Amino acid sequence: MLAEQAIFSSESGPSKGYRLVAHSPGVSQNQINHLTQWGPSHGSLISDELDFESLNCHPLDDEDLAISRTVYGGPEYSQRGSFQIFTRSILLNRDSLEQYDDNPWWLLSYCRILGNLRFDPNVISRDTLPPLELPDRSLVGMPKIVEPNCQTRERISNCVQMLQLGRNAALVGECVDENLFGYLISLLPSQSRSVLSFTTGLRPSIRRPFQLHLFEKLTTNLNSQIKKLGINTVCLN
Amino acid sequence: MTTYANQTMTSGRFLGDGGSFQCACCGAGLFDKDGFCPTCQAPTSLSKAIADRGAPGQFISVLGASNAGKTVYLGMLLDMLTKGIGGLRGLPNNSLSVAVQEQTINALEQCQFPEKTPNDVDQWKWMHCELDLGKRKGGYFDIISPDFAGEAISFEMEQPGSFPVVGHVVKKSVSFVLLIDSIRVRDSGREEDFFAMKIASYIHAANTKASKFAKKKVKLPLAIVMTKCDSCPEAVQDPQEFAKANMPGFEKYLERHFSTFKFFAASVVGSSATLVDRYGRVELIPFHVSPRGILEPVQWIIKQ
Repeated sequence: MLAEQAIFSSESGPSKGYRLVAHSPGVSQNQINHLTQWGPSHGSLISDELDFESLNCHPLDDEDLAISRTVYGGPEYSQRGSFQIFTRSILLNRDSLEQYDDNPWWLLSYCRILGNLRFDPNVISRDTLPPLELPDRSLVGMPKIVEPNCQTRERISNCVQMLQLGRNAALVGECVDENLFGYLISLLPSQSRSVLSFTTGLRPSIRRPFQLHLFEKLTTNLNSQIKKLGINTVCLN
Repeated sequence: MTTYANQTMTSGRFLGDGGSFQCACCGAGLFDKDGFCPTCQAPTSLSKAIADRGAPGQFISVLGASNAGKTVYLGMLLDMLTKGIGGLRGLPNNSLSVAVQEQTINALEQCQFPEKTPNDVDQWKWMHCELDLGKRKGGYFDIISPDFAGEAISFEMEQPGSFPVVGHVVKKSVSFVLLIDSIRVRDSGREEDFFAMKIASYIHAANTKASKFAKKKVKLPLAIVMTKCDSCPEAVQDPQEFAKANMPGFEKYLERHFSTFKFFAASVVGSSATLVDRYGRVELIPFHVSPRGILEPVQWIIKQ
């Protein structure tokens, strides 16, 4: 299946600062506006570790969604000593998720393995990206989900209930990993999975209303932001 | 089988909290004193502070491209007002305001410039201070100025409504301070000229009605501040001549569409150097703080 792609980062060209620096030809103006709204800028990653990454999924409109990976890129252009935030997004129709059990997390992990979400400093100098050819179905099969212990299952179920009631949630715990997240997604009904927006490492923001945040731990600053935005916390530890 | 779910009712929340108040930017009714306005995303704590004072504040928009120096200007301005330098004394009205000053002064004391302002509206700092004018102008003058991200201003100009708080503040502002990087003006051709024209036309459109009088000049005062003049002495001698020579389109646009404007030159540091670390990160290091031209634009605006 063919998918569009886009990159949101900072550049020093005529339009200085964080913006959509490159995209494939099939990305519409409406999608550009959505990507700009959701695009993370300086200070958006919750960790300062240079190898930290955030895997994200959010809607573009009623039919399309974007899966993305945010990492630290090269030096930021404005001589303030920081690294740029680099986000590579793949845009696709929700119907494309059918062959992936309507599970955006599964497709996101698979695209990451294939290298479709890698950081590439050279791509910023190109305005146009080619469309991506993605496999219609995963060639490594469905990942095997290991059920967590009873207490964790109960808390995950609480989190799923909150999501079903339309409340945004933050799942906090050092044991939050790919398996646990995959288990959470598997509890959601099929039609809810393809519309779920989540992030594993972006700071909560009013401009990025993710339904689900995943954090290893809650700092005071993060806790304060979560409360201001009305996000409910579920702690696993 | 019937299933039940618990749903917390939130409509009764305001009854115990002491009532509602209006958003200072867009006028929407608010109840939550510790969140963000659902219409324009301005912090409700700012609106609550203004409502509690009982007198509407005066918005001054500090605009400029990314890296023009808005955060440094606002932080240094508030620091100088707090100290009562230049005959103007101002005190911050809430913690949001103190954060502006703190961020800038702490960074400069450590020989750094403050970090880039993120695009996230909830991360922005807002200056809200009460100016003591003494016997002039009725005694007190409340000024409110958000520290916008440069990209937010660009996006709002290109796609109105993408950052609603920018549009609302610009429409409500009684005056404007437009910061322009003098080094980029001198070295980067007409880029800054075109961007400044875009901002000026945005201000003009926000403050004039679309009617047959659309050619009417904006009367609100506009202070144009050439920043980073420590590294561009050409802008210090005569900022208006400097702009005329390097930004001819912008200068002509102002003469045609604004009746009250003035050029200024400002800098915060005496000298600086560039540092490159092993990752290739480039950082401008300020050697010492030597503010110039920070208060003059505000003094001029108050006189208008």
